[in-house]
Amino acid sequence: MSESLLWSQLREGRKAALEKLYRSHAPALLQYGGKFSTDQQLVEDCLQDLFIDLWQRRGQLSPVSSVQSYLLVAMRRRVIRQLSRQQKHETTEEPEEHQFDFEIAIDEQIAARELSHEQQRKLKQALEQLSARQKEAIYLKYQLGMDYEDICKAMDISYQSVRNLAHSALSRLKELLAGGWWLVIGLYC
Amino acid sequence: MNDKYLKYDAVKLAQEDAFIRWVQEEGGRRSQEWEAWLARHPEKQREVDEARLLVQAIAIKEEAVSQGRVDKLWDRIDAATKTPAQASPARPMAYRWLGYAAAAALALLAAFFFLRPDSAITVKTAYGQITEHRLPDGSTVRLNAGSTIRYHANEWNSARQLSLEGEAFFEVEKGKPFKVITPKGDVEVLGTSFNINTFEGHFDVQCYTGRVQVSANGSQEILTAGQLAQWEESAWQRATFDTDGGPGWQRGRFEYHSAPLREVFAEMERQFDIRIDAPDSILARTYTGAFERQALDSALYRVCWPMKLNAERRDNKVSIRPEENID
Repeated sequence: MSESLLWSQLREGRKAALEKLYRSHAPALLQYGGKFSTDQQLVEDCLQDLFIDLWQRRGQLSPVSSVQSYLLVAMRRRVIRQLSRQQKHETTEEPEEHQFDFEIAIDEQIAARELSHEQQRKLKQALEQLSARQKEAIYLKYQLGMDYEDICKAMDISYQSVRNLAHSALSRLKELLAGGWWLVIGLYC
Repeated sequence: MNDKYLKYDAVKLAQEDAFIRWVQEEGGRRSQEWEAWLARHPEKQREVDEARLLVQAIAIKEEAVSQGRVDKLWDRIDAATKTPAQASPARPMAYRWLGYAAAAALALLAAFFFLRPDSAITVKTAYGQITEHRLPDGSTVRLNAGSTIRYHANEWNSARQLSLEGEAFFEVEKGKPFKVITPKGDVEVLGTSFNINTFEGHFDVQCYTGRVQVSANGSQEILTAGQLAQWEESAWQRATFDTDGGPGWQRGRFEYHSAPLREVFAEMERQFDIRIDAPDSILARTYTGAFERQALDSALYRVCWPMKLNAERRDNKVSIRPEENID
């Protein structure tokens, strides 16, 4: 509620609202942007332009249902556009599909309690083997807690595709974790 | 709890929003619902364990973003979005004269507006809205949601006086006496900052800096920084408080010590622009704790969970009922 209040204040031209929105979302947007490229400068430039643009277009902004999703979508577009521009400069080939990379950190408590070293290694491997799109869907869902509807908008794909991505990613994880799994759970039932 | 989950395997369960929230916010209200569901369907234990592990396994490593990096970027954004204060480029002569004529017309209009015998000004905040208003002498009023101030701009220089309904925080420039008239009494100061709350029959005044004189029903008290006075049952009750950070409502934080739920829910209605429906037996109970203006759901949760209440939300209507016994 306070988010949508800030959003409407931004539309009315309140600079303080721009700053508050920036401060509460900047860390997550930098982290999200950083998953597409390790070039920190590029990610920061995109974030800067995004907020300057928000301010300049404040009069034309319409109400949004989720400020967080709006900003994530806008950030994603900017980073990808910027990356494909760079690629065009460097090569004459068609820009390849963007990457989306993250490292997983297994919760130490859970790990100690429920996963063997072997399973941790497998889990890490499993996540690394997911496609960029699968990883992104997982990231938006489990890390940022977005609705499936908002994820479709963010990734510009259909609802069914998002569900398929999440489903295939989780099935793959489960497969790789299987074996030894029931032994572990058996101990705690 | 929805019985569609009976047909779900671990992979499907691990994708359900309700399930993910349960795992990620262990100990929350949902955990009871899930545990009760699991108790009714012990055959699903395996799927649930497996799904829980899947959700927990997806812990993504994030590199912390330093405050310095956020600040530096903001400085760049701030510099690029400053309203240009410099004069705009010179325009052709004819337009310039047009500009002067327009300015003169505006000045006339403004003079007419301010010199009218009745220049009453009303500033009102809707539910879910707070605002800051600058008075003619540069003093400021920050109005909490659902509050109103009224004053006469043309009389301000001879008498700094305004009326308040609701709650506001004042920062008063030094000068002539500054008076706030409320339904229950008056507050008079010279130059200071203070908070007045008149919601739900209260008349609470907190002095943050300087000196404040409060009066109700002929009874007067003087407050200095860090002191507060509450008008209760026709007498002033005095206490001290911590002035750090200013009133909590300005920071979006609402704290209560043995306050009736009636007041807590009334504040929520104003902050989130919602309507809360609850039986009188619940409204009379007292609550100690706090909520924040970040998100309605977590605010409801923070109040309802310790009180064993159930909040059901539909659009901007919330219905509060005693939690049903699930065991």
